[in-house]
Amino acid sequence: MHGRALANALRRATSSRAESSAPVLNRLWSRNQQTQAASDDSSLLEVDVVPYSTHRIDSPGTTVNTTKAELQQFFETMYRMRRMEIAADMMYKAKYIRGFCHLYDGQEAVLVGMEAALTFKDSIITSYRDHCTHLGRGGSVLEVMAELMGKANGATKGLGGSMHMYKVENHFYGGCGIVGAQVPLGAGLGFAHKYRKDGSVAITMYGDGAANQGQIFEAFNMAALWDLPVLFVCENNHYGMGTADYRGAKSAKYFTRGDYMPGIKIDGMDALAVKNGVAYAKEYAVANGPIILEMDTYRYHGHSMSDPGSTYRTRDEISSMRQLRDPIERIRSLLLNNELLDTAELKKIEKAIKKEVDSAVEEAKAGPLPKEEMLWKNIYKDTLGMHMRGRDSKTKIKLT
Amino acid sequence: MPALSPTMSQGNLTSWKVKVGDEVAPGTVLAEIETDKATLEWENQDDGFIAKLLQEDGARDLAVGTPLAVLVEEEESVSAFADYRPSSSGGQESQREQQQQQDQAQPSTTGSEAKQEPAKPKVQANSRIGPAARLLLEHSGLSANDIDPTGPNSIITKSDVLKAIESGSKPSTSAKPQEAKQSQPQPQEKPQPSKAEPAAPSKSDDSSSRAKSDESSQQPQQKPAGKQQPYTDVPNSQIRKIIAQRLLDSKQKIPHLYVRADADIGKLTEMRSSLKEQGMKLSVNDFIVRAVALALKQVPNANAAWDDKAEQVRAGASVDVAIAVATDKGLITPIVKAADTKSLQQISKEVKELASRARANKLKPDEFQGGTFSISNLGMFGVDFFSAIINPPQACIMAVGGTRKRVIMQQGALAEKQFITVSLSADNRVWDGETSSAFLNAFCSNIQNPVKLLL
Repeated sequence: MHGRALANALRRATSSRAESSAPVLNRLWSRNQQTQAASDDSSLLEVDVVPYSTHRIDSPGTTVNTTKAELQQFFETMYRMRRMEIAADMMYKAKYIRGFCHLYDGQEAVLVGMEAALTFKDSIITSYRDHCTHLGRGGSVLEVMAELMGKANGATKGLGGSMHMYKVENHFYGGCGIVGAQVPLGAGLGFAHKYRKDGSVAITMYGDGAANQGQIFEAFNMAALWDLPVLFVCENNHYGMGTADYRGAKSAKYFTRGDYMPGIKIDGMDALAVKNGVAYAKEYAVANGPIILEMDTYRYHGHSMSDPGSTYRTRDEISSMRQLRDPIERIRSLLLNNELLDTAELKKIEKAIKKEVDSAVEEAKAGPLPKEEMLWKNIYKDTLGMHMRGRDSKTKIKLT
Repeated sequence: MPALSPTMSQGNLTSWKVKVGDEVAPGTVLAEIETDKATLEWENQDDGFIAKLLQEDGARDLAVGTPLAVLVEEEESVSAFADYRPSSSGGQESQREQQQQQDQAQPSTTGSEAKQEPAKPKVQANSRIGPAARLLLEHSGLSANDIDPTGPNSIITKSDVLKAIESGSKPSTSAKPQEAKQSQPQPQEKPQPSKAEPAAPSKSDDSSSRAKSDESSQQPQQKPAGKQQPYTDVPNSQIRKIIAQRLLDSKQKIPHLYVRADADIGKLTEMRSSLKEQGMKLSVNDFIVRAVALALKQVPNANAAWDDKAEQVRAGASVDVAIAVATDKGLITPIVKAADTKSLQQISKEVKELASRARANKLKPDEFQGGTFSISNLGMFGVDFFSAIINPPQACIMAVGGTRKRVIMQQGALAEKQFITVSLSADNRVWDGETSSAFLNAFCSNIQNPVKLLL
């Protein structure tokens, strides 16, 4: 790797810090944290997180309060997301899942921390890497796996597939296939919240690959002009498909790209840092207007299942991320070092979740395919008894 | 076998990167898999230990879904799989194992389906049989009832009969077809030897069955003459494939001109032995290389190649002579560059070194690609004379035979001489008769007066 790439890789491998300070090597998260032993579910644990980088705003505090119950829930949810993505990988390789499949493993902390700071009244819209977003918004593993396999008991009745999962009752507006198209939509969701004066925020998520698109800056402008309660969350996993962030952007400091809009850079591999930052940002956004949150995160898989993920980055980089910054390992060490759970209990939880995911996969495999009339349902308000041509000229289907 | 690309239906397992007992983590590369597009690395997603590898390195054409390995969670479980075979069910420890049982269920059901097929009711064959199929039927002694028809309207096709012959199906013992065979042995069998039937490896079988049916018209002979002799297929390595292709190209596309001469190597043998006494061991081949190099310099027209793209003669910049070396992988021709500037000793050393590196497969591409002239020497194998095939893009190859003692008339008396026969195969587009004879003359004069080689 040449000098700049090496420096960047080191910076990523260690942590996100204030831009001016030098990278700290071999940092183990457990060493920096001063914690109090907590033995029951609700007593508070104080955990120190890495300082935030900020732009036009004061930094949130770096001490986060958490409880054993919360940490356990973080662990379970992230582990469930991880196993689900692994199962999706295996199902794709066994050809049960076809088409596009963009996996989220490595980035779980972003969603889990965000959901801890939000409610289901806040709206979320995200990109095509949305399997875990659906899970975080109250969906089940079965819904996701069935949707991936195109079955009728999937999240969107088997009609949407990997990139189009919705849960409108929990204000999850998908899953969008076009890169960056969801950002102006998210600004619109924020407009709706402001219009209704319901005190909620809209979170619109995009990646470093989309961050240079024009409509995003238009959305910034309008959101800032009208003080919309929008959190623009840039999930910076450092590679837009195969292009490293510093190769595609003049300024890879995405939290500053809003210029007049304040921004915070958060360590996206630390669920507690995310929770803290998002809570702070939500408070700010409801009161003042839009804010950008850059999540410094990493994906272990390639961009999608067609991408091996090793042609533009080394395997060493991926494995060092797994060892040094893995979000699930971080929570696991917190739990173990503070004696909240022991190894056997954690193993039990893991086994149960593995079983849950496996049975969801089996159930999804056995699920029914959508009925034929779903091909034209919800397209016409009134079908007027039209006939639709089938696969060949002999077949005519009456629309119902 | 994972589908590493959406269009993949089967893959080749190029090589394993883990072995039994290894601990694997997410991100560990398990194997290199050759897909329909490229060779990709197969990454592991689960923590665990490798308990058994179910396929070997180099296994080809494995369908997607074929079980490749067993992964277990606990290290202790590894030994339980030591004798595991995919068809039997071992201890179920990990989820991966369960998934593989799923995959195994699929191949086992297809296996049982295949076994059920012979129990299907036999389709009555159509009485229309084409002439080729009919001929084969009679020739092999089978009857129409023995064969599964696969043609339209249940017609027996020639390939059906061939398949039945190959599988060695025994003919039925009904009397009717035997009589039919008996009644037309002579007129049918005459045209048979002229046909190139793949199921007729032995014409002697025809004649023997003919003789037998002549002898005993009462008892029909049912000799299935179409039984295949056992054979083995030797798969072609990549190198051999390329050699085969190039030889074919050369023979088809290059107009070969063959010129032959005998050279008296008496003086050369003397010089060799005198040099040997002084401690310098040179082979006849070294002398030949030097003689060729000097001859190429003396006849500059000869040191040229045919430029296929420009369709014209391209003069060689320097005299690079290639030597044919036999390795166990195939024939390769390392080049002695600027052979005319090198002395006999240098040539000898270089040829030895190139040959040993060629056998060890350590030649660099520019060491065997290029050149204008090749020498192929089969003299040590007892060959007197042979013609070689040109090595494109070179223009000539010289085939050197072994030393022969001959008696000739010299000044009215018998004299014993030692001769070698050299045979040039030249590209007639580059070398015409004049060039080739000029070259041969120069070469022979060089070889017959080896003192010239020392200049």
